[in-house]
Amino acid sequence: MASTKRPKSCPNPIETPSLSAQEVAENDDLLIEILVRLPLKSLITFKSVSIRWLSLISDPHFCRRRLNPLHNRAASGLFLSRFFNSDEISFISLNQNRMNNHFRLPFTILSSVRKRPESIKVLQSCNGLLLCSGIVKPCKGPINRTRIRTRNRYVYNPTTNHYTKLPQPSHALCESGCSDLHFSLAFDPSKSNHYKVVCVRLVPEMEVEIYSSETGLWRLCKRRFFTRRLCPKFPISDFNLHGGVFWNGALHWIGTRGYALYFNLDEDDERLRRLPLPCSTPEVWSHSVRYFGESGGHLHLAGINDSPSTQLNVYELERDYSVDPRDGDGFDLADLSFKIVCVVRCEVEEESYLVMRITGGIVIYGLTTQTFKKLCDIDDDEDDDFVVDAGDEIIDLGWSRAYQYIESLACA
Amino acid sequence: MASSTSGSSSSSKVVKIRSSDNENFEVEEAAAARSETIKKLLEDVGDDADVIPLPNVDAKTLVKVMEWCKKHMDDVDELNKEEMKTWDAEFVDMDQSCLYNVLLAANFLNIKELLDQLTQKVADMIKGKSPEEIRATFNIKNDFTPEEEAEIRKQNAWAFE
Repeated sequence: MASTKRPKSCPNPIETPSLSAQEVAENDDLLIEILVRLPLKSLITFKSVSIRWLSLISDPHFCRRRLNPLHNRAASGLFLSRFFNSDEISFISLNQNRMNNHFRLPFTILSSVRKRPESIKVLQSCNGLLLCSGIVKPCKGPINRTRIRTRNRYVYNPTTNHYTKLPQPSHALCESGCSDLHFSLAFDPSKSNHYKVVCVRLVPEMEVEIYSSETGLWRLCKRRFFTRRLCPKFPISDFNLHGGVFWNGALHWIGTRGYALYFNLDEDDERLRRLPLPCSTPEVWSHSVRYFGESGGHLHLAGINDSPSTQLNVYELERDYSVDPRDGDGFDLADLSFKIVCVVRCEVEEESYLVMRITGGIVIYGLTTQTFKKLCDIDDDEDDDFVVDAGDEIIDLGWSRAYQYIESLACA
Repeated sequence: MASSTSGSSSSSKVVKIRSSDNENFEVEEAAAARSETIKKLLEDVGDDADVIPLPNVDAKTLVKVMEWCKKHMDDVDELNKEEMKTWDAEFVDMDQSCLYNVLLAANFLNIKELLDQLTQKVADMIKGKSPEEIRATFNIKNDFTPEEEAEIRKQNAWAFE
């Protein structure tokens, strides 16, 4: 029967296992070589083959091994937290071959494992892991003595459904009911299996505490950072310090006036710096940055350029934060009311696309094809985050209720 | 990259190898040396080599492996890359027991490129299967309790419903 192909429609009858197949599968090295070549979906399924397969697939070194340059790190879906006051987080797939329905989500694990239910909110998505915050709901009933709500932070891998509850940073001792702590996640699986979480507190200088999943501990940075010195003209309150953008070894927080702050996580060089957003002048950008985010190892900046005509430009920043001037051919979308949800950078650059919130729903816009494809409907009335044409005074940083889903086996 | 040598191999020296079932083969050294294991053995014994015994590989499998080595003996220039790809795809399309035997041989003989192709082929073959089918293919015993198995499936089911 050499090299004859069975018709696909006819599933194999239970094959008699050959001794050589068994021998291959019993060899850890060979089995791993096979497993690393499997799509994630199969790996997740194959966890229930046997205890040995489960342990091989769950091993952090295996996750690392699986990550090669060919491995796609682009988002394959989006988590939408549509209603911040409820636990509802929905999911839409970006996989164009898949029907787009809302899935039953794994987040219940986070909220139900705890003794008391927590309301879970996603703060940031970073290379396959999500940083979440949970507020323990106060007990109902007459004995509601304390108004203090406990906030917990989780690092969560929605693919494997594993999570870690972070210990409280020492900053949290001062945390009042209304949080003045800002958390961001830094995770680069191509560099390390471990992640860091940065907790920023303004006192009013910036105090930084860093959690490392390697040690399981928080560490306070010796230095405080004087943000006033960095950007004398702009108050720190201009910067959105929640869930930064992790790229190139640093966390980035964008401000409302054309500047970003970035914090380098390299232990020998933990420093806060200011980054003028590239392009002509900050003044031009200050009213027009429409998106700042990472995808597939690239940092993207999108903005509306008003001269000579109104156009949307999408830039891919270089490691030194410069912009290739050939980039950013404008797209004539300006007549459209939209907010950018994210830029998805595909392995094949030409396949990259924008996800946009437009009136009535979410669409995909191919950056090369310049065509739209509808992803899902959204009731605009239920979404106060989507106010079209908010005026040009405030920088409009896109639609903030979506977090990229990147398939990953990384350990949370 | 220079696309120079696509002609006959520079060395036409022949080495002898012997399969586990005691069949002898004569192979061009350049082909045999695709195997790191054979290459190392050749270096160790130098020109005194009579026959190199390969106790882990039977004749049928060795024929297959050497067919691959011969094809991959020379550098491939750009023009032939596509053709080679097609050849490789056809090569790995063999019946299952043969495939796993060749894979084990490629591992023992340490032929990285062939091993890559074969493990990829196995991955492509098994990727859509169910855990039950995997157990049947590789003769694996399910050592989970039913509760454990149900729990793992439940935990991981969400994205792939």
